Amino acid sequence: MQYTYEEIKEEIIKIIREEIGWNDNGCTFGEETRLIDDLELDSVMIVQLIVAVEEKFQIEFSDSEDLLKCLETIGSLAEWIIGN
Amino acid sequence: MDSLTKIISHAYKNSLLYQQKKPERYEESKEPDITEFPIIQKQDLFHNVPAEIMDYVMGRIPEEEVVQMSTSGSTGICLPVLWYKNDYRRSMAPLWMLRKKYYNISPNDKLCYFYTIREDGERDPVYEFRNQTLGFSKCSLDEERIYNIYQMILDFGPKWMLLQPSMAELLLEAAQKFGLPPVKELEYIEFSGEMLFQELRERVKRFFGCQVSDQYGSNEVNSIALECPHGNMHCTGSNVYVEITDEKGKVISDDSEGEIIVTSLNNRIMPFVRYRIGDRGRIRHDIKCSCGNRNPVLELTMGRSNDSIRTRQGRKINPYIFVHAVEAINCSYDDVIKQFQVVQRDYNRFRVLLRIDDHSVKEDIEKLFVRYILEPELKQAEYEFIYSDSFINGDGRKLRYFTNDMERE
Repeated sequence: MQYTYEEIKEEIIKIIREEIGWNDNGCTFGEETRLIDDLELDSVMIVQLIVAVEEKFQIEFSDSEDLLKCLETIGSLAEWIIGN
Repeated sequence: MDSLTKIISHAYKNSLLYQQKKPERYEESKEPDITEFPIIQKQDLFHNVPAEIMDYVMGRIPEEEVVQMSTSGSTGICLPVLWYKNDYRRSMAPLWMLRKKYYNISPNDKLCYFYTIREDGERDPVYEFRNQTLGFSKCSLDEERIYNIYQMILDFGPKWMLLQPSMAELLLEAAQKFGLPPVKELEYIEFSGEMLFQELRERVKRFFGCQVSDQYGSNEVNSIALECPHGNMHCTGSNVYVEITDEKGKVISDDSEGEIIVTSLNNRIMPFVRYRIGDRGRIRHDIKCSCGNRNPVLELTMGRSNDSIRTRQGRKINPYIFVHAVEAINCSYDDVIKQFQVVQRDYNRFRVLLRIDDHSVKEDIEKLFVRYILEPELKQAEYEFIYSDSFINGDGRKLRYFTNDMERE
């Protein structure tokens, strides 16, 4: 199934809220929201996010130059998913 | 801008140490050739305390933003290391991803581990139970304590353990001596901190019946490489850039043995660019591993191996027992030992060279040093302690915390 950028972004936000259980206290997430610097995702959450994204979009992360770049923001993650 | 270019630019713009060593031809606007940059070693940081550390100590960088650690004593020098908390998390992400992928280990799985010096530098608690982890201090490790530790591990039932090989030896010895069973919940043991020999790996696998891997890293840069289930130690490419050089600092060809030089792609508060980590190895860029990881494969050769201790009966003992003794003393005496080297002169004679910053506790240090040597045979040996206020040089280039001089005498 082909997803649009917006759909992927919404799915990522849903994963962060529901599967990881990150309590955003009603804040708005955007594509510029930084996963580590703004949301302060810890190691548990990062792994949960990676696993959930891999399952949902049937893709695989690898330890490459791109790994931390794609985990920089919600937008960069969505773009990486589209590109893979 | 790629990560390597970014960190070089950051280091040479923001760090006093690197500004002092900037190559003449360096232009920030151009993509740098990393081989033109100088190699930094621990002595450089020791002699020029990074400004970042001073800023932190002086309260100019908020404590809550920073993680503070120390380097291990295994290169003979103990140095504080700082990370921004978020950079530390970023740096750990690839390692966790690989642990999950290769060994089905997640950060919230039950874990047992051993520690020496906590981040805040305060005296270590003997045990540390936090969330799903149970940690044990390496201070005062005598036979009774190891037995108790093993029992606590059995009760706790970890899914995985983070061990130094010498700790695994102690646990195996305790299990054998006291007839203790393997940990039935255990699925994975990750080794780090010391050279892992095949013989010990096989014994651990046989006894505990779990997967085993070797992880190579340091507090300066975090994970450098992790062994995959196919036995290849892949560099964690999104965390570090690894080179192998000759003694003159020239990068050498694949599969040639040389000095391991690492650049942290994520430590911004205290950058490590072309940092000589003190170990030797070889690298291969062309391995198409079945695990799918395309990062270069690293093989440690001498590693932090510094000769072995030899006994009259022909046994070879890992000299890391001396590192343990120093770490244990530093736990109790606030990092009093700044540098050390142990030289085996004869089967039962050792010279211990120390640089300390409090001479009033010399007697205590000497007593504790012998007390914390866990190998019974070596406890009976003769130790000559020599104190020096100047930097103890090893063989001119790389400080070795232990050398065996027996054949030379």
